[in-house]
Amino acid sequence: MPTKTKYFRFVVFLIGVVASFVVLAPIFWIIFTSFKSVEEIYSIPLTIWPRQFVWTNYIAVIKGLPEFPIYFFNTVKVTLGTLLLVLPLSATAGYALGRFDFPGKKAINLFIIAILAIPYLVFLIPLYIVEDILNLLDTNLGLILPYAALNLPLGILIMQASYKEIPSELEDSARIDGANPFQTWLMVLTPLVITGLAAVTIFTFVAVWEEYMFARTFMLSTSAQTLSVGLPSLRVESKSWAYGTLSAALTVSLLPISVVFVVLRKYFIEGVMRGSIKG
Amino acid sequence: MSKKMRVLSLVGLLMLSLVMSAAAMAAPKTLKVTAEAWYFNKYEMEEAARRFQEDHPDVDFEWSKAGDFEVAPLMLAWSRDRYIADLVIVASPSEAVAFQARDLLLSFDDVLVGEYAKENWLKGFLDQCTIGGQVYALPSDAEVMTLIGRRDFAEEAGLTDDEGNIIMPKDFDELYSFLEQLTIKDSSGKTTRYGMTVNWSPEYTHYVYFSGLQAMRGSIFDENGALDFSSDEALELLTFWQKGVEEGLISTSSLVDHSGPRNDMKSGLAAILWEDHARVIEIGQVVGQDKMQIVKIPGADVNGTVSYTMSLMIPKNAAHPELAKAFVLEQFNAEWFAHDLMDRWGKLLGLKSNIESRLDDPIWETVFELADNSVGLPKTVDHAKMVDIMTAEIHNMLKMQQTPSQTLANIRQQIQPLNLEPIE
Amino acid sequence: MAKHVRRRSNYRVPWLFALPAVLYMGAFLLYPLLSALRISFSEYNFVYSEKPIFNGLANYVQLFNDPHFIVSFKNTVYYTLVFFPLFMLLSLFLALLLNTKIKGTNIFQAAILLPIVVPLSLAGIMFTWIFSQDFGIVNHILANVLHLPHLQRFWLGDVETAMNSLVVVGLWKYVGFGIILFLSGLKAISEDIYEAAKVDGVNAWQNLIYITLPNLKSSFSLVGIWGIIQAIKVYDQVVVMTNGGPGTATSVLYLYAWKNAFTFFNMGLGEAIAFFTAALAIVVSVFFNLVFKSEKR
Repeated sequence: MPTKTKYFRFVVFLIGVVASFVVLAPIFWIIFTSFKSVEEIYSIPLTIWPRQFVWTNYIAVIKGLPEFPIYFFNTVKVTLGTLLLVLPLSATAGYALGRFDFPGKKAINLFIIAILAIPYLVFLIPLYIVEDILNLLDTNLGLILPYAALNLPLGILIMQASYKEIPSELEDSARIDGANPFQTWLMVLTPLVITGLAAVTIFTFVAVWEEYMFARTFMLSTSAQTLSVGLPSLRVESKSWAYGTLSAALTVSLLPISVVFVVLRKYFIEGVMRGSIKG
Repeated sequence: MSKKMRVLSLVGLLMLSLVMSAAAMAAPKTLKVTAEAWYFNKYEMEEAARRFQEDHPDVDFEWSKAGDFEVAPLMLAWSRDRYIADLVIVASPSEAVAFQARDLLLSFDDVLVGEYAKENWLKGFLDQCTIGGQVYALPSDAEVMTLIGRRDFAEEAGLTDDEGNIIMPKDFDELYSFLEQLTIKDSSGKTTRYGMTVNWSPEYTHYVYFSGLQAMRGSIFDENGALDFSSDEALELLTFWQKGVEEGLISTSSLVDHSGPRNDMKSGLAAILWEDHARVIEIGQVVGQDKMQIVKIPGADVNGTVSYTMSLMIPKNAAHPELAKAFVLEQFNAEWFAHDLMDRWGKLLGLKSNIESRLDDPIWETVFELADNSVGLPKTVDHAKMVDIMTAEIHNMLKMQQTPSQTLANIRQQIQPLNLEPIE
Repeated sequence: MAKHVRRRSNYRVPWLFALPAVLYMGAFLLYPLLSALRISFSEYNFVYSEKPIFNGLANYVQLFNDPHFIVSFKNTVYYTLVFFPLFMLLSLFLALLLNTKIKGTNIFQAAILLPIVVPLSLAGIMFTWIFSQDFGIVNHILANVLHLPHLQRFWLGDVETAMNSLVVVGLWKYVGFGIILFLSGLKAISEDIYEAAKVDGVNAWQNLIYITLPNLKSSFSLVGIWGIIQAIKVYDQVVVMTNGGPGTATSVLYLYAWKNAFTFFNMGLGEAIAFFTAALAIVVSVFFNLVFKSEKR
C-alpha cells in the first residue's frame, strides 16, 4: 500500500508538471521571442531559447509605441471607474434585496436573472446608439457605463446573498441602539460582507480587463482604447506583424497582472467561483 | 448689491472678457487629423506638420489614431455628423460615398485651380474621388493593381528578353505556363517556390478580381451595366486561380495574413506577386531593387487596370476646413512628401508633376501609364457587403469547396438583394 | 392605521436602497433591451436610414435565406461540439488533480489557472504567432523536434484546421474557469463520506466513480451551462486570428452579427442575429438544467 501510494503520488505530480508546462508554454514562447533580435525571430530553423538576449524590442516599445502607456492607463481608468459604480450600487441594492421584503423585489430579481441569461451581444447595438446620442463614444466613460451595467446584475446577486447570510440579531441590536437604516447598513452590516465585495471586485475586474467586443466597437481612437483592443490593432499594415515589439508589449502588459494573480490567487478563485453564474 | 459693487463687478467682467478674447486670439488653432494608426508610421506626418507650422505659426496639430481595420465604427460616428476631425484619412472613395450621401463632405473644387487644377491630377485617381462632378476627396496612398515579378527567377526559367526584362505574357494561358516554369517543387511534390502569390485578403480580393477583368475585357461591368460576375472572362480568371492553387503554382498565404504575399516575395517563396504596384518598392528594399520589375496583367497595356486610393476628406463640420485644405495641398502634395512616400513605400499621391519628375525610372514610367489608364471601383451603398460576399466565395473556391462557375453563381445569387447601383 | 404607516416606511427604506441600481439597470439594460427588440423588427441602415422602420419578421426571414448566416450558425455549432466535451473533460481532470493533497499543487494551481487573467484577444495574438506557418513554434516542433514534418499544417489557413485551432485558444483561456467551478463542487463533498469508504476498503478509482462524480452533479450542470455559453459566444480570438476566414470557415454568429451591424451598417439584421444567439443560449441552458436537474440547486 505505501509503495502504491508513492507511485500514485509520483504520477499525479508528473501530470501536474506536464499540465503546468503546457499551459505556460505559450506565455514562455512569447517571453523568449521578446528577447530575440528581429533576425532571429524570422530565422529558419527557429530557435526556442534566444541565442542572444537583446533589449531592442523593449526599447522599441518604449520609444516606438507611444500608444502603449495610453492603453494601459485607459484600462486602469475604465476598470476603476466601473468598480466605482458597481460596488456601491450592488451593495445598496444587495442590502435591500437581501434583508427586506418589499413589493417589486420579485420583479427586480426576475429581471436580474433574465439579464444574466442574455448574451452581451444583444445590448451592443442599442447601447451604441444610446452612446452615439449622448456623445459618449470614444471616451472612457463610454466604456465605464455599459461595463457597470453589464456587471451590476451579478454584483447585486452576490451582495444579496452576502447580506442574507448575516444573522438578524446584529441588525436588530443596531436598531435598538438607535442607528438609522443607512448607518446600520454602512457601519454594521457592510463590514461583514467584505468577502462578497472582494468577489464582486475580482469578477468585475476580470470581466473589464479582458472585454473586447464593446471596447472594439465603442472606442474609435487610440486615446480611449484599452489594452485588450489596442494591442491587437497594432498589428497589420505597418510593415508586417512586428512580432518582436508585439511580444515585448504583451510581456509588459501581462506581467503585472500575472504577479497580482499569483499573489491574490485565493481571491481570484473566490471571485470567479461566485461570478460564473453569468454565461 | 451696492452701487459700488455693481460697478466693480462690471469692470471685472469687462477685464475678464478682454483677457479672454486676447487669449482666444493668441490661442493656436488645432488641426485634428484622423487616420488609421499605421498611416502615422508610414507617412512623414510630423515633418509635414513642422513645415506647415513654418508658414502658419498659429496652427497646432492633433493626431487621432484609429485602430487598423477598425475604421467602420469611426465612419459610423462620422455619419452621425459627429465632429471627428478636420482631416480624415480612413477610407477608399467607394466607402466614403456614404458620407457624401449624407451631405457630410466638403468639396475641394474651389481650391483645385492653378497648379492644382483638375487636369494636373492623375485622372484614374481623381475620377474615383469625384461624385456628381465635384471632387470630394483627394487621393492618397494610391496604387494600381498589377503583377510584380522577380527578374532573377524569370531569367533562370528563361522568361526574360535580351535586356533581362521579364517578358509580358500576352494572355492568361501564357501566364499560366510562366507559372509552371517558375514553380519549384521538392521530391515529395511540395512546392518550395510558388510561381505566383495573389493577395486574396479581404482588403484586396475585390481589387485583384476586377483588375483581372479590366485587363482582360476592358470593363468591370457586364452588358447590363452591373458588376461583372457572369462573363466568360470572369470564369476564365477564377479557373486560372483555382487551377493554379490546386496544382501548387499559386500561394494562398493571403487567406489568413494580409501581409502574406509580400512576405512570400521578400523571402523568395514566390516569383510573381499580384497585388498593388507599391510592393515593388517595399520588396525591392529587401531583395534588391534591380531584381524587381512591374509586369502588366495580360491585357492591361491596352485595357488598363483597377486602381485604389485612400481618400483625404474634410468633413463639413470640421473646425478649420480652410486650414485642412491648405495642409493637404501644401504639404501632402508637396514634392518632398510625395517623393518620400514613393521612395520608401511606392505609394502615390494624385498630382502628376510629382511623379513626372521620376519618369526616368522604368518602374515609375509603367506605374504612371497604368495609373492614368485605370478605373476605380464603383461607389455603391452596399459595397462592404458585396466585398464580404465576394471574398468569402472566392476563398471557398480556393479551398476547393466549389467550382469557379458555382462561385460566380453563388456571388450573383447573394448580391441580388443588394443595392449596387453606382452613385455618380 | 399606525401599523399601516410603519409598513409604508418599511417599504421606503429598501426601495431607497434599491432605487439607484434599479434606475441604472433601467437606463442601461432594460431600455436597451426593449430598443434592441424594436431594432430587430426594423429595417435600419445606420448610415442611410433616418430612423428604424418596422418591417416585422423580415430580418429573421432574411437570416434563414442568407447562406453566410447558415454557415456561421453551423460553425458555431461545430465549435461548441468540439469545445464542450474537451472543456468538461479537461476541467474535471485538472480539478481532480488540483484537489489531491500532494506536494506542488499550489504551484500547479498558479500555473494552470494563470490564463484566467490573460485577455482572450491577447491570447489570440500569442496563438497566431504560435500557429504561424513558417515561424510558428508548433510547426517547428513537429518538424524539427518530433521529426514528423508531414504533420505540419497551415493551421489558421486551412479549412480543416482553422476552427480547431480557435478551439485550442478557447480551451487554453477557459479551462481555468471550469477547474475553479469543479473545485468548489469537490470541496463541498463531505470528508466523512470518504472516511467511511476508506473503512470499507474502497480504492481510489471506486472513490471517484461511486462517490465523487455522483456528488458533482450540480457542478456538472453549472460548468456545462457555463462552458456551452462560452462556446456560443465565441468571438474575441476569431476576430484577432482569422476574422472568419479562410472563406467562411470560421465565421461564427457573434462575428457575423457584428459585421452586419458595424461593417454593413445593417443594425436590424445584426440585432436579429443577436436575438437568435440569445435564444440559442437560453434554450441550451434550460435543456441542461433539465438534464442535470438536482433537488439541491
